[in-house]
Amino acid sequence: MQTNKAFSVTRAWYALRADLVQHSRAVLTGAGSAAALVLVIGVTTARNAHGGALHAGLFPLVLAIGGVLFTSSLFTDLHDKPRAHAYLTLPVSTLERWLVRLLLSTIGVAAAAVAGYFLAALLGAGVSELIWGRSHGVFVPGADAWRAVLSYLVTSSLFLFGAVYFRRWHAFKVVLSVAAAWLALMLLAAALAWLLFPALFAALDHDLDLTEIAPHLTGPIVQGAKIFYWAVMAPLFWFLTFLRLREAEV
Amino acid sequence: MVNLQGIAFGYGKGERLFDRLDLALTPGNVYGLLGRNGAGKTTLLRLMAGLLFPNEGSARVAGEEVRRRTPSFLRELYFVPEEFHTPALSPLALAKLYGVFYPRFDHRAMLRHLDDLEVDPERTMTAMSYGQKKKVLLAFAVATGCRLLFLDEPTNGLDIPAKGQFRRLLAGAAADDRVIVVSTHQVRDLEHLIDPIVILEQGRIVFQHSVEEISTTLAVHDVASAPPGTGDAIYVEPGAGIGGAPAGRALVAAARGATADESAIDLELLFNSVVADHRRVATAFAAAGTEE
Repeated sequence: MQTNKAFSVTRAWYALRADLVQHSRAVLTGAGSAAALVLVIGVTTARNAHGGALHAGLFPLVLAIGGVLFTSSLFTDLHDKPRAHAYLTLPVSTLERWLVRLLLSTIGVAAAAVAGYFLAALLGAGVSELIWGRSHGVFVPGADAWRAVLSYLVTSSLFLFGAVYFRRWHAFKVVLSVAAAWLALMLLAAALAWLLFPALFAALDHDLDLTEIAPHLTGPIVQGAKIFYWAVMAPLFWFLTFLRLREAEV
Repeated sequence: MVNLQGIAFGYGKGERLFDRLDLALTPGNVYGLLGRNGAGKTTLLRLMAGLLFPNEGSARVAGEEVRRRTPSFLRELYFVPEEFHTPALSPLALAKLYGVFYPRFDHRAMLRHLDDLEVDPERTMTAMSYGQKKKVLLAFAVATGCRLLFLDEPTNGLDIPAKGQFRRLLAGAAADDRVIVVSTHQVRDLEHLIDPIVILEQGRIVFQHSVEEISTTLAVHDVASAPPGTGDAIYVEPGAGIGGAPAGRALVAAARGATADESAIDLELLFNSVVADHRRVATAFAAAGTEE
């Protein structure tokens, strides 16, 4: 085992294994609840089933809610003194500590969601066929499902940062912070529009539409937002999570 | 091995708990870290463990800045805090899951220590009492083979037989390459184990001497029977004064040429003397030529 370097696969594996064992009860309870929900919804709505329409809507919902709740709870040990003591003195580097939790919140959740949902849907389909003679069918992850997974991977970065930053009510505070930031951005945009296009505000009797005011700006703004969401947001919040973890104290 | 230099620390923007605190700890010792409630014993241990960051100064262990919390530092440190968390595992499972992080972890020693402390190695820790859980952590701490052991109030929550078992465990854990720091306000529990004595008062280390230095520099006498020629009392503590008990006890400078055996020291009286007026105690050490 290389102990002097910032990263060792062996150490990271030991840390991941310890985390999995420590969180196993919570993970199994959460996953069991989600699976039971999928099963119940699948069976009770199977009478009016239309192909795989249920899975197209339910899978992203289960992934989003389950993933956000799990990710938001990942650093509860850091905000509890006795547990933080044990967590921060465990002989692993900050990089390994961060990587383990990042893997759990991203690949771990996504893989568990796909596999768990598949099994729950399969069981639901079997039970539905027995009861109703029809079902929603098995869950075969298609393009929509993978797009939901990708969206989750990006969005969860925000909740991972919230988990390490906020002491409690992590997910709730993240949503509130995003709403506050969004509101501030809108007010700023309105102020800028008022400064740049004052004539539009003189006789304001209809909703302002950016495509009408400045059609040449619409494309770059949408493009910029897409680039920020798909390429910048996740690495940015993962990095901020690492910095916060490095500076964490008891 | 442990070197704190010019440490300043305070919680939030309030008053500083430590200001220009210096401390050096060398291997082969079981340091007794004493201080009043709120003096900052736990905070000092956390600063030395890299769990808190100083506002000023540096905290290094074997040359490494502790706030970086590198694996090479952490694999040599085991810290048993006063308030701790135990996972829902048996001591055996704990050793299996977490022992791998410590290159010198000794599973046989862990079992032996658990046996000595009368703890069932297969019982889940969440079903154990506070004292039992603490015994598991103490056994684990010693079994890690870490060169740096921090024990914060280790005898709190232990019953009378367990305190004896713990003293034996700690005596066996002392080694030439190991620094053990025991923070306690129950000095009687560990009187014959801790050496040197470090006393924290008003944000500074005001006393750091070995038991031998203390015993050859200071002596305790009953107030009514203090022999002449031992100088003025450094500190006098009133006694019960009933049923033949002395009216009080005095800490005095030991007679020149006194040996450690001749002047056994009461740590509680020493602590009270230092806290009452550490400068008078320091003067006695300076006069005897054993200042830090």
